[in-house]
Amino acid sequence: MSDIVQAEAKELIDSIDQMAALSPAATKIISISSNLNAEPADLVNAINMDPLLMGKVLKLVNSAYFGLGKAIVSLQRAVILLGFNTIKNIALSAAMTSSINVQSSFKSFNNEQFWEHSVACSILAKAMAKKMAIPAIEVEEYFVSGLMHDIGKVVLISKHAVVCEEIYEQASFGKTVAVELEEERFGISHATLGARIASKWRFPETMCNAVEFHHTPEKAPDDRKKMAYSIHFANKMAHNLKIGIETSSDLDTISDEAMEGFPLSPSDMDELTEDLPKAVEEAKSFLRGSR
Amino acid sequence: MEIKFWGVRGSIPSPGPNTAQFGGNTPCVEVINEGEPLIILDAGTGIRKLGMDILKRPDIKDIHLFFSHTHWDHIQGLPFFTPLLIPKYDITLYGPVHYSKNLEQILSQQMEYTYFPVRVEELAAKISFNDIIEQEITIGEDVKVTTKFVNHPVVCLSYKIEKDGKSFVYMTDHEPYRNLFADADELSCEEGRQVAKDQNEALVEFVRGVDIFCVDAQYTAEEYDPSRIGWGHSSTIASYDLAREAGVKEMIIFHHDPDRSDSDLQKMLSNLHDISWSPDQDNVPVRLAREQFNIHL
Repeated sequence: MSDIVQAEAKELIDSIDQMAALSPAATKIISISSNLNAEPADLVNAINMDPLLMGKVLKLVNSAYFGLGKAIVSLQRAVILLGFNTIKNIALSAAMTSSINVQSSFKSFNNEQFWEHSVACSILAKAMAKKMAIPAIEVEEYFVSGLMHDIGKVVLISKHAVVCEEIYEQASFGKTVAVELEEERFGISHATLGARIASKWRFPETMCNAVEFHHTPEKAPDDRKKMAYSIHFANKMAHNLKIGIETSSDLDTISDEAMEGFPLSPSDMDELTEDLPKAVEEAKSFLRGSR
Repeated sequence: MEIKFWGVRGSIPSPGPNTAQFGGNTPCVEVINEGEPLIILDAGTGIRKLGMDILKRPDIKDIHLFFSHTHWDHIQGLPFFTPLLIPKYDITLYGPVHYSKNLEQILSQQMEYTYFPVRVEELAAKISFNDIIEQEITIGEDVKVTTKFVNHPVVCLSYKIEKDGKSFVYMTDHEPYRNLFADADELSCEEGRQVAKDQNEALVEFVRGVDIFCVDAQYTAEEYDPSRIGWGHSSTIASYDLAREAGVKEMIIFHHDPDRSDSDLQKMLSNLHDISWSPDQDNVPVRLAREQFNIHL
């Protein structure tokens, strides 16, 4: 690695330390959102964990959008007035979008596509976990890992938008994966950067590994391969379905060799994609609403 | 003011011999004020026949259609509302703000090719969409429409229509606000109790003294058990209590359960009378909404 590339890698890693942490409230709200039995009080307690988030939710509730006459100052009031589902969606989108925002809109990668792709992966990864009968408590980790797997790209793009544009365009048409080009150019890939962010946000080790090895699941520690492979396949499937990213390359094909030893069959995987576009569209519409 | 019922059933159309008397069409109510634009509340399957009737009335050109909310039973008749296909009509649609989609998106989606052969863009009438909140709207010269959020699993509005000192409230798909935090910590519980109380009191004020109060009363008191609480529909007695407290002149039971036969509906009404009639208080006359039933005020 040349000195220049090495310096760039260091600068990127240092920039992670300056990133705001994803609040524990955000992860809690993600978990509540996918739990059909969650109680209104669970939601209120989760939002209350993060005063900034609470402020943002109340700001949205009190915005001209809902036009409520009297100012709403308590979340309990907001939930009773506008309903659990509305407040849950507001909180979830506020939590996620205030933590992550791609400050660039170049051709091959923009904010909306980034979210669409991330959401597709999270839904697929969770569906795989369920299909593999992973214990309920771990299923959410698959979901969050899917959502976060490309988080490293946010840092890369915010620092090196022009170079990233070249890299991702090249990767989408060529035979080279983006991670190799990133390593060559920046000395570190979005996967490795993503794992560092996940670690800073105190995600469990398994999830850090899933983010780190989502392009190279064979390198994940044996006891964490299942999640890493799930994110890896979810990523490829989302690319193949052209959800969020307009182009896919030959490298997105899932080989029989890669599937070997994975508990799900190709037909299982096909089944999981059936409702995906609709689910992504739904998730996307409220993410859009919060911006 | 004239009020005409074209669909009174909740959830799903329920045609058949057992529902022939009260009707099986889903919600649609017409409100006519002489010399003013036509007002329609909800576009359940009842709106199909109303649409055909409108074609026979040459004076009508301006139509204002208000959706309480966009659950299926309140929008499913819209694609079959013939005036939408005719250029002479000017149709303004109103519905409550929805966090993730606007009214135009929601209604257009039900008319995508997958579900229906005619798309919204192909409709010939002049159509406009309005996402509304709690507010006052003046229709035509002098018809006042006031809105109020009610308690349903999706954002839902009740409408009060007033003209020349006459008033009509349409409050479908609502159940009394309750404390959602009863099992939570003490502070949340107290806040939840207070909020539910405030909201229920605000509804009484909204309905205060109206001539006709058409209200959701899908369940009997026995049916409104914990398994149905939270579905966004009231019991007859809860709606009656609201009507009595607000001093309305007449209550109309609306949004009939699809499984309720004509004779069951009559029984439900007589049971309500038995449990609610009081010699010490002003009693509110109650009737059941029925298709083709007209009220003149």
